[in-house]
Amino acid sequence: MENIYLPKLAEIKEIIQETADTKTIRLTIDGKSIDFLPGQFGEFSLIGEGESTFGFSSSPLRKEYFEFSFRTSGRATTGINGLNEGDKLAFRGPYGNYFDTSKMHGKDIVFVGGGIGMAPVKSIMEYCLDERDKYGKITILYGARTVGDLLYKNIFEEWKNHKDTEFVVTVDPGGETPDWKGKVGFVPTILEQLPLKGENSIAVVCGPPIMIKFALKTLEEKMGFSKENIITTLENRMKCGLGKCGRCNVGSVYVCKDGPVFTAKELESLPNDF
Amino acid sequence: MEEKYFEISSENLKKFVDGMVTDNYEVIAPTDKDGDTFYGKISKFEEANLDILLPKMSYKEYLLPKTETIFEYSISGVDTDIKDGLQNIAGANEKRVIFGGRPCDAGAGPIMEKVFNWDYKDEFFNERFKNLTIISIACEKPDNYCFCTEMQLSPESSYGSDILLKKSGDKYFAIVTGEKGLNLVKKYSDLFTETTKDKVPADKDWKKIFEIEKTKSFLDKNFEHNYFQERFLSCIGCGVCTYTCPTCHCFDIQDEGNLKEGRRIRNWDSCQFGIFTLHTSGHNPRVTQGDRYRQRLMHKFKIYSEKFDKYLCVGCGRCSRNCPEDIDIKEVAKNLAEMA
Repeated sequence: MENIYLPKLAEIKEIIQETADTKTIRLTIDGKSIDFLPGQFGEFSLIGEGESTFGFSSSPLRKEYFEFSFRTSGRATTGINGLNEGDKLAFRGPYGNYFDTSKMHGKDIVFVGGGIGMAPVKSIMEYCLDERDKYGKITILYGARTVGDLLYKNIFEEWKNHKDTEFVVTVDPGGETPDWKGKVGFVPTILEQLPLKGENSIAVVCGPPIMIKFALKTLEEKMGFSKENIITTLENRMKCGLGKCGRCNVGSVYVCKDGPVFTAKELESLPNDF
Repeated sequence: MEEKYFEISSENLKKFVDGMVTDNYEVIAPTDKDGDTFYGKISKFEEANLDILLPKMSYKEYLLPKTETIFEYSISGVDTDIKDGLQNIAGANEKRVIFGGRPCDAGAGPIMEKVFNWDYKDEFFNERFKNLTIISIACEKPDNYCFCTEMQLSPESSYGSDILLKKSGDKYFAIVTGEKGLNLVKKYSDLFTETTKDKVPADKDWKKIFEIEKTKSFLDKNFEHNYFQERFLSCIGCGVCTYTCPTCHCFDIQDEGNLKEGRRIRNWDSCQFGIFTLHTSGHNPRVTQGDRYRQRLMHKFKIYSEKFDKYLCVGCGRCSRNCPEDIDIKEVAKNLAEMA
């Protein structure tokens, strides 16, 4: 008899302080990563402080660890924030559906991430970059409110250095510093300036709802992406992650089981409940 | 197993219940407490209140307790000791019997079983459900809040009961639906007399006042309808509808204790609370009470039936009887059906 709510203990291998209030934590179970797919998520907790839901941010092909990024904001994340390398973190998962990379093979891909929404994008993006030859041109657009809010700064160079890969980073107007070399402008605005065409292309978009709304409009109306070829993830409050606790549904769709990955076409048929 | 039919006199029914108590069954029945009637453990037949239509609460808590230990933990230094709550489920006792419940409450078990078993299996629920024997008594006089007939059951439905008793003069007919019920009857076989289906009085012709399929077809097309925002302006979001509901199963998971010892628990939760869906960012998909009551209606009459081919409602009417704002779900479901 299996207790589906029982977590496993993972060991913290590495903690990366991304910004003042966000960290990336790399974990292992039995000294290695777990089997998961990009887009999936898990329940993470410091036992005693309660569980939180996070998507994986690492490529599943990197077998030495699995990672997630989080912003410290409540009781559970404050607990996790207080942990050190070598400490234990409770984990259960992976749950949910995933980005189907087989449908992306041979195509040009644009990855669009806003704020901490870059975390799930990073997982699928690095998965593609790890098998770079399977895909066409790759464009990465990443934006945050301010320079100080950008995650993954230490690996920007790594992303850029892949062949036939363009990396564009932007901050919201007013969020730039005097020595800022990237773009200034909201993600949908900068997206519009990129030489992208919907033909034989896939767009992966994650970020705050308002960014998604305008980015989708740009991709569809100005660049000719079909709704089937725009993929995003939904985040709703979850507790069980197993389709039982009853809160993450959008209409008849359970984000934890039917999602979190949806195409713009699928989103179109959902009621305004997210 | 095919249904089997027995007769039992009122006098023997008392002996049957007292016999189970004597044989260390945990017998749970409607019983009076603090001026009201609740399901609770009885120690003799007389403690059961079989006159009342429905106890205040359903017996959901015997399948899904208000608080359940998922695991207990103790942490010292680098060692974390986790004790799996499944190893010691309070109340998952083969000798637990619900006696004198109603067909609506009995219907809730097999309906909830579906959500607890699609894909991932919730063994907490399964262990309790598997070990519970349900002996229901058919209703003779449903009240105005009742609408089990509209919900594909009836005051005489045996769905979900291991034994359904139908009163007839000073005796009862016992309809035994499966092995669990039959085992009990066999154990007390001197109190029961086997009979045939044709001897059991036919069910009355219970009339429906609306078609639930029409309610669903309204919900299918009218997510944005003004009705929800207007009708539920009066809702104060107390959540009593969900707590007293036999099929509402939404739950929360919380840690209780400190960083050295404590437990992770699963608690009843309610879709009627704003915090239920509140995101960390402050965004909330369901802002108004109209949004939240609509979710409850959608879950019961549309979403659940699409996923599991059963409506998530047995028509017991408790949510209406207990609502401080007198929101009558039967009226609401009827209104929606009329607007379809």
